[in-house]
Amino acid sequence: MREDFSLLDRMPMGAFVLARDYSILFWNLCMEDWTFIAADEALGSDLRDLFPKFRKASIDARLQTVFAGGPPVVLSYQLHGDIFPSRQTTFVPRVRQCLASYLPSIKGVLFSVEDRTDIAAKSREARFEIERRKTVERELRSAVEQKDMLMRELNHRVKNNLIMVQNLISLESETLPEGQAKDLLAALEARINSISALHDSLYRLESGSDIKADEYLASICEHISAAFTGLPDSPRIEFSLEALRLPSDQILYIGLAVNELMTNALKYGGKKISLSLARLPGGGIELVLRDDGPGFESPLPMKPDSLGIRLVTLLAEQMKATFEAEGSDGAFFRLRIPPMVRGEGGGS
Amino acid sequence: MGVRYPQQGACLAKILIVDDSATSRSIAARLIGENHELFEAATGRAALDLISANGFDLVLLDLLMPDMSGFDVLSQLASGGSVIPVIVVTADIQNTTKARAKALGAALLIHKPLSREVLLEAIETALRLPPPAALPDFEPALKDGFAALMNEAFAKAADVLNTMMSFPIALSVPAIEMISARELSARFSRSGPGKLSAVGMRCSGGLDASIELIFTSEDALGLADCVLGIDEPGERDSMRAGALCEIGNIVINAVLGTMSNSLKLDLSFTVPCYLEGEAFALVDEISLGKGGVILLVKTRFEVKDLRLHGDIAIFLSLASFESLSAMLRLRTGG
Repeated sequence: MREDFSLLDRMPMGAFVLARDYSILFWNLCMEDWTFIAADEALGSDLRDLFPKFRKASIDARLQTVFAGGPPVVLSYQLHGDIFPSRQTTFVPRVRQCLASYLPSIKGVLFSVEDRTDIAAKSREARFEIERRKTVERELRSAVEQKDMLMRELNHRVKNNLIMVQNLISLESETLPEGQAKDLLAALEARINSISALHDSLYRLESGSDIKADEYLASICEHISAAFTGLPDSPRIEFSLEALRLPSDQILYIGLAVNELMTNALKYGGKKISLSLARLPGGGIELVLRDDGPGFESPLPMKPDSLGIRLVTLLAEQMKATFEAEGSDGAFFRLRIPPMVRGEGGGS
Repeated sequence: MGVRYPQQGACLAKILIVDDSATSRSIAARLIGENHELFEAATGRAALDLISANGFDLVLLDLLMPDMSGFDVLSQLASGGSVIPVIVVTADIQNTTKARAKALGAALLIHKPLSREVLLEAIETALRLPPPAALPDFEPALKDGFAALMNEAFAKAADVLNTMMSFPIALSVPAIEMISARELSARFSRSGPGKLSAVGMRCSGGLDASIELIFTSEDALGLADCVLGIDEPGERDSMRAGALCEIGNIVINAVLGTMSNSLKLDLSFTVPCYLEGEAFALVDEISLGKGGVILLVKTRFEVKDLRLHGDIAIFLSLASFESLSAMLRLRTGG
């Protein structure tokens, strides 16, 4: 018989063949190694004498269906434990799965025994690793959520404090007679508003740090123009703002510049003011403000008292932008801001 | 509803465009132009309502929608036995997305952004596809005969399980129905991507079939834990495959044994195989992507205080189903 099954000696799994009376017809090399039972000893023996588990009625009943030509039967480690324990007691228990299938040619049953100890151990390790990573991920997520929440809270508080400062200034200015001091305070209040509007945007932001430039600039202009409404012939403002998302430090500078230029235009300009913001082909940004007012003498006189224009010049320098002013046909201001490298700016 | 093809390539099909984005809908509509009669739905729910109320020749379906995903729409259409061809239009280029859409019965899948050529060609192709073949008739008498066989098989399986376990396991009387592979995918996909565990064997000879015992992952986990008495979650994955494989083997052997005895079949068998995966992939793998029918035997396992559902799915080609019917007819004397 041995010759018929010698191929099974070459397989990396246990294999043996049983006759219907449970006598062993073949016992491969792997089974010898695993059980410490030599083929000579096994052949002709009753499997149930060597491994009493096979006397159990539940196992016998199922194997009988295989002997009768029925479908293969699985005997798993999980439900039966180590089915073929080694005689060598120092061996650690192995996870083995056994499959019994019918061999019609000899009306016997072929048992194949697969050692799954490694797979079981690896799967257990992988499971632990996945659990560990899930825990870390949960912690990271909660840390990020907390950080976002704190940032929003911080921006909210900064905004409230700035509004308080604005209120203080405006209360103070109410006590002053019309004149230079009152104008200065109004300008100061508008500048602070530009900053607090930014913090308002940051507070509303859900993630990331980029601000919708069009919404932000429009909200600043609305605030400034509110101070001028009710005046006779209050000018019309036309917006042409591209929906750009800009980093918070860059938009702060642009916002402050718009604040100065728009205030200027509302004070001295004509009936129509236009503000445009657009992305340049190279990735930079162009901001243009023009009005149809009386204009000014070009080049722009850099009077020491015109803080607004000085401020815009400084902001332009900070952003490495070019600042052009032309006053021959109404006022025309143009800022061309190069693309910003992340992490740059905002330091001063 | 028949499709009319006028002479100059223009055609008058009724097409429903389903997309939550108004822009996407209007782009699709503009690309299709005046060739067809167009309708729009902004949600999956609205689409299903429109489809049930109107006869459409074709549906263009977006996958990512807020109320109900395109997959859910496909599942519902599959469950309702809809034969309207659906073209899935998505920006998702993953192969699994395509496989899942196909398993749920999508006729074609094309990618956004849409081009006029691709869209119009897809529409022409989908409109010319033959409707999916209807399932054959499962005569009530034969169905009853088959149900009796299954009852016998499940009683045997319960016997075997009970002699093995230290606690009783009850298998409830099975209900039987015949469905298509697409419907089976749809059932398990209904609540998100359904993960399944299945043990399967194939038989050939007197009857060619694949028989699977299919559980949802949760039920598989519950059954394995209950049988093994494991409390340590880390142990579960490595342990359950072996235990489920043996339980599946016992139930499937009872089914195969009863069928081969009662119908006098001479069968050969493959060894049992344990699979885990998403419903669509599993069903596709078992049915080998071919048509045919599935006899679904719904079972309930009662173990300790748990009630778990498992389905025995018998995958048959149309020819195999015919020969099974003939054998059942002989046995019932019909």
